[in-house]
Amino acid sequence: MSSKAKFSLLCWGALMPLMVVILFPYATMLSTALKRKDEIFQFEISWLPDGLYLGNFVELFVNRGFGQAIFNSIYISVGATLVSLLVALPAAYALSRLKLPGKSTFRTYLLITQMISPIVLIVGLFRLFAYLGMINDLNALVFAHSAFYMAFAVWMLQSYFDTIPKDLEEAAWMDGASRFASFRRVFLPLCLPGIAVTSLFTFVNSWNEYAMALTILRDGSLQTAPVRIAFLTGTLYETEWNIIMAATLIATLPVAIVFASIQSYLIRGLSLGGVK
Amino acid sequence: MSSIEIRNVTKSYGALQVLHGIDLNIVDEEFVVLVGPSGCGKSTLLRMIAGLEEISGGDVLIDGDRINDVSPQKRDLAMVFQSYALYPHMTVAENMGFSLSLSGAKKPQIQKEVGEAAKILHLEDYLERLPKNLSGGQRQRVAMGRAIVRDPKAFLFDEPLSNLDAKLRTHMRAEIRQLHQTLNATSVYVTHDQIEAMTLADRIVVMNAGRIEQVGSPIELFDTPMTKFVAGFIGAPTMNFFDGCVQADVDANPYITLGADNSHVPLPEGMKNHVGQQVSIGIRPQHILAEPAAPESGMITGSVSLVEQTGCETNLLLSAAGQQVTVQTKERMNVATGDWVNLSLKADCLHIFDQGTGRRLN
Ligand SMILES: Nc1ncnc2c1ncn2[C@@H]1O[C@H](COP(=O)(O)OP(=O)(O)OP(=O)(O)O)[C@@H](O)[C@H]1O
Ligand SMILES: [Mg+2]
Repeated sequence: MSSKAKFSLLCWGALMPLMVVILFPYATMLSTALKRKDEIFQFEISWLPDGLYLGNFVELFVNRGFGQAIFNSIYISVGATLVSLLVALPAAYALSRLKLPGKSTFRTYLLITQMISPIVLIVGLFRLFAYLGMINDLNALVFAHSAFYMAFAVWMLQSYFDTIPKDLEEAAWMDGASRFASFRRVFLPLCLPGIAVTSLFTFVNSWNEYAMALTILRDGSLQTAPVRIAFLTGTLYETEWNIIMAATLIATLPVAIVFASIQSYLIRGLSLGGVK
Repeated sequence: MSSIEIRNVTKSYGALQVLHGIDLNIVDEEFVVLVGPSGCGKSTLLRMIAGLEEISGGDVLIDGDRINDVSPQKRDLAMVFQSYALYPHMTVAENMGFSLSLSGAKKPQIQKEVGEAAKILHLEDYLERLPKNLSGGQRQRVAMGRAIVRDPKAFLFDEPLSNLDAKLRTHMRAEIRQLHQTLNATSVYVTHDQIEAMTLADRIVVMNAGRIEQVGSPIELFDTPMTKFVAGFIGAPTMNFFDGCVQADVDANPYITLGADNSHVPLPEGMKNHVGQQVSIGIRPQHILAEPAAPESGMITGSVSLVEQTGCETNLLLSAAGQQVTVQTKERMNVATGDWVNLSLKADCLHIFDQGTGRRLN
């Protein structure tokens, strides 16, 4: 065996404990989601289900309205990601490129807002949205989420923008590109990796957010996936693990899909090298 | 093509003033090189012409029009950056055609113009590559190509060759000069390399600490530097300077004694008026004659501390007159470290500067 192969084997060995921690819940989810109800409570636990039983999923979508919950979650997460990007992109650009008075104070302020837990603000937020008549409105959550994750998005994007050489934009201006044209045709394509990471972060945070979604969306048909999963555990006399696990499995899928589709941008970011 | 006029331009960053009243006229089709030590404000001046840096005071005019408040997009100048600043996500052809596509040119026309520029710069085989897959010299050429596909009013270069190795730099230097002869474009070129300045320029502007020291053709600057700074900056190896006091002999002819030696170096007639003045005598290494000999009274003698053979020339590093002296000769000299040589200075090649002001006296 070559020393390189030995080395990578060693690395994988060292990573194993972590892999177990990460993969074990998935294995449990997958195995439980594919079992019949009566199979779960057998005395002897087996990892492999008797057969590929898809009834749990059918039950979830047909009788429990989980499809609606997934749709709500997607609507909110995509919306929150888009709205926060729409505001954060120009804000981060201005912070990175323009001479602004009080720039560093503003950056510190952004950081401080991140120290306040959303839970603390929930009562206030509820009253705000009640006043605006937006209780039981998915858009209320779109705005709430984008507001909460925007500060981080601005912070993150600015750090990334700072790494893009100013020469490139100046060269574009000399070539006759307006500020907007150089932003769109030179700056933005180079920032895609940074934008990808930022949107991924916003999307995942919004997807997993529980407290605000629980408070503001009172109607069962408006519940997001995490809230619906929680309701699956608490509302019945018995805990239907097979259904719950099927639901959590499905709830992880969109995040995985978003991550996989963005991945190529993340890698491309590392290989760009136009300036000397 | 166009003329550029710079009138009493100043630049300050807050309280720090980096340019103190620059005046310069660049005529149509001229190749002007701004040269000076690091931090003297060359790039700042160039970027002010480009419109990338705000002008704190004074005016910049292109073809007689004041452009202080015109944005860089509208000045119609092309710039080659030290970092090349190639757009990493565009191919060579897209990089070169970017300005044309912005101005709304049609695809076939862009292709044609890019093709012509690529031909001039020998880039035909690389048009579909991304910048990251090019060598340093090729990237440099793409940066040049991006500038020449348009027909700008003037070219601005900010140390475009400083990232290349010595051999490639010499090669590209020649190419840039040839390109200028073909295109006859008004050009402003910033460098801190005096050889680059000498070989490329129609006119050199020597800058120091935010001021222009002297403007002139390469030969003017080499033969009659007007300040001690210019004398020390232009020419390689660097000029030798000796400090001393102008004296008059019995016939009232001016002369000077160098260092502790009892040497007697006659000075030009005109120095009569400066008897008693503290001066710096400058002489280029090429204008000192060194002859192996035993120390002799009345001569400047030096002991050899280093011999450099470049094949073409011999450089001697000597200690003479209580300081270091460089001598360069075309002849193959047979001397070794520790040997003694007699030095004679070519009388008509002396540059005499006032020690206080650094201004030329002869
Ligand atoms: N943004 C800035 N704020 C403050 N001072 C600056 C700024 N940009 C440049 N300077 C100062 O202005 C002076 C001139 O800078 P400039 O870049 O023009 O030098 P240069 O002659 O091009 O030098 P080099 O050969 O090293 O490129 C320097 O002393 C530099 O420190
Ligand atoms: Mg510079």
